[in-house]
Amino acid sequence: MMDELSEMILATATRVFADRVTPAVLNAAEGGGLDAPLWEEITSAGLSSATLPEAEGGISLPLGSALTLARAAGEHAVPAPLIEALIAGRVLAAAGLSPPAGVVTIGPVLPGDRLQLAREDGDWTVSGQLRRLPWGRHAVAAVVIAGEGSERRTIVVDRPAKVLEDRNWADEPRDTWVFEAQPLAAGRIGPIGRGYDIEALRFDGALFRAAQMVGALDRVLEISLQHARDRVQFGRPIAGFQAVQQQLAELASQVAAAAAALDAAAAAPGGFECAAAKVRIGEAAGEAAAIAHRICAAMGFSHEFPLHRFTRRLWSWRDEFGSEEHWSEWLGRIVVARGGDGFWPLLTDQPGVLPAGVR
Amino acid sequence: MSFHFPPTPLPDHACELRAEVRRFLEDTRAAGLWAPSRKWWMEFNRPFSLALGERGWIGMTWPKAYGGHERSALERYVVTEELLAHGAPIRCHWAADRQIGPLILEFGTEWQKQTLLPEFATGGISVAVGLSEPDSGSDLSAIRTRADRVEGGWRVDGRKIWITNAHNSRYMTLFVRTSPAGENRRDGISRMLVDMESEGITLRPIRHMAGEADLNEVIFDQVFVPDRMVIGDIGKAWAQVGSELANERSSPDRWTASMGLFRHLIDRIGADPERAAATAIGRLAAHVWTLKGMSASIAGMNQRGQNTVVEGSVVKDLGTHLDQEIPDLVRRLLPEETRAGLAPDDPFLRDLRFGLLFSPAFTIRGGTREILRNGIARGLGLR
Repeated sequence: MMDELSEMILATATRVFADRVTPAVLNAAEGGGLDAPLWEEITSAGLSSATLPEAEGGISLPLGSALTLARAAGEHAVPAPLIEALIAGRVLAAAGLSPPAGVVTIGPVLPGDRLQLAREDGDWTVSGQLRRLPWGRHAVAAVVIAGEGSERRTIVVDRPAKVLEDRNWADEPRDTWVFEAQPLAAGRIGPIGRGYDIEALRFDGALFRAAQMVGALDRVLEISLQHARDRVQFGRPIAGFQAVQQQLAELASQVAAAAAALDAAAAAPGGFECAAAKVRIGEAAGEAAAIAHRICAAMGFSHEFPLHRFTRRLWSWRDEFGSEEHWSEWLGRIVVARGGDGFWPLLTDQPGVLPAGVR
Repeated sequence: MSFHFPPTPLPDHACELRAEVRRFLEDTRAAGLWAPSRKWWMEFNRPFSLALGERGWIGMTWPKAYGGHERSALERYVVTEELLAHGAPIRCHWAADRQIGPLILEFGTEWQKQTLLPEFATGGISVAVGLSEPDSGSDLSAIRTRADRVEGGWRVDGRKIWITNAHNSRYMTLFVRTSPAGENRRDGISRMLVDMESEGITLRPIRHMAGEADLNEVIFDQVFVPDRMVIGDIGKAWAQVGSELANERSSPDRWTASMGLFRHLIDRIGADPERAAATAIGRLAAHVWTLKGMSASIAGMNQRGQNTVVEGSVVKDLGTHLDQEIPDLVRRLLPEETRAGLAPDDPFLRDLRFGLLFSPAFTIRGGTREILRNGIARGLGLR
């Protein structure tokens, strides 16, 4: 059940997204820019700070509500680093750090990326690189889990001088930040693994991206159904053909499974659940996008038709914060370590818990 | 629009209930009452079903007045998924517990509820489901088996086919035509429960491609069915099929048929498999986890009195797809080189053979994939 504050935030978000995320704004964003009026409205409505504690200007938005917000953002293909801000807020709150002023991003996005921390005379420096940083060129700083093994800490690191710009298949900025012994300002580093589990950023990343994907899937289904009802061939709407109906049924089933996986993970957000949700939703995304493009055919292939806004994002988001392959392997190793008899209890006995001894 | 499966937290004591079921399964297994077989939960084992009934785990949600236990749909869900996930042999009582008991509870007479449901709840009474006919599979309203009015009841003539377990059953539910098909072919169909010991019934076992003969063709030659065995109103049986098939389709048995094979795979692949194997196993785990949540959600919706016909079709379509994928995946990950070294009677080889050869049935029984998707499309407002 959602509390009143969450409901207000969601109502506001839906209004802002519907008003501000126009085709013109989406088209402009494909050039790599961040629409200033949109971002201004998102921040002034308190959306980007929602997961921060009250003392830091937020409302400590609970995870379930934050995921609903992420799903709504996915449904509108919001071209702004809102989800990154929500995750940053959760990680900062857990580490007891203050948020930087301005646009913030989070990392690492690729499971293999790791920043090194060094300490000399009490001063910390950061080295290494973070690839595929969402909206990196627009961010003033990133909230990052840095360091090795059990020495990992949450840090807030400013955008370095060296930024290599790139984009994903949906033309969203995905940049590389290169750090060469960059000093870390005081108050920008948290204690070792405190509070919120130090693994949590990657689980959050996976789960929030998955929530955006479910929002995008909602739209893919809606667009496909609408197109099938509107498009007349052989003298009737193609929705009347059984071959088309069977595909739409399959599409709807994939979307339903994706939404169910998201809801289940949101209700018991442990490592296993976040990983399983990213895997299942990622697979649904691939299946659903393929079906939708078959249904919407040549019209759906055009830039003018809205379908690609969502399918391109779905294709891209599958690979961020761990692909289906990454998380499947991670899950698979947990499963085999417990043996055949241990498989079912893994699903039933301790939902919502990070399996012990898991990296 | 999309179909909604609200997450359903299980009741507080679900953990204890789970533990009780697991203890029961261990104890009965140690006592030699059962062991996992190639047929997994599809194994017929009357002593096991009787023990389960004794324990109060059949007809769990039915009123106590009718031999039930007045437990919640979610409690029943927990017990059910534990039995299925461990491959407990539940075939004997399964159709009665899953769909025929609920059918009688919804449409049956007071006499039927008082007489039949307590029998079903013991676990010892098996009920077969008679829907299909030689010329009526997916097209259910094309049935030709007819029942004609006679003194005190009905006289049934016709044939039913693909009837699982008819040879072990005390009763069979019959979908019969009691008046000719009119404008609407769905009118004039009635449902009755026939005593399998009645005169005029002939059974012909059908051997299937996986080597068993537990399907039957059942021939009715002037079989008398007394009035008291008619379920619901004469001519109105079509309306019953929806909720019955919803119960059949949404049950977790639709994504646990290959779980025994999956467990073999986990054990045989070892603790440090190659990347491709770990990835494939993790992917299946994510699918099972998702379906488990969807099935629990349906149990929650049923508990709240919601109709879940379409949701059940979604779960069966996704679940049977998974159940058909698993045998082939096991084949690829544990290749012939590995399998050739095993003794011919190795339980793993036995289960793989049966699992693979039986798997086409998953997308036939309880409604073909195409029929399910027609129903889902109807739920989307397309039909």
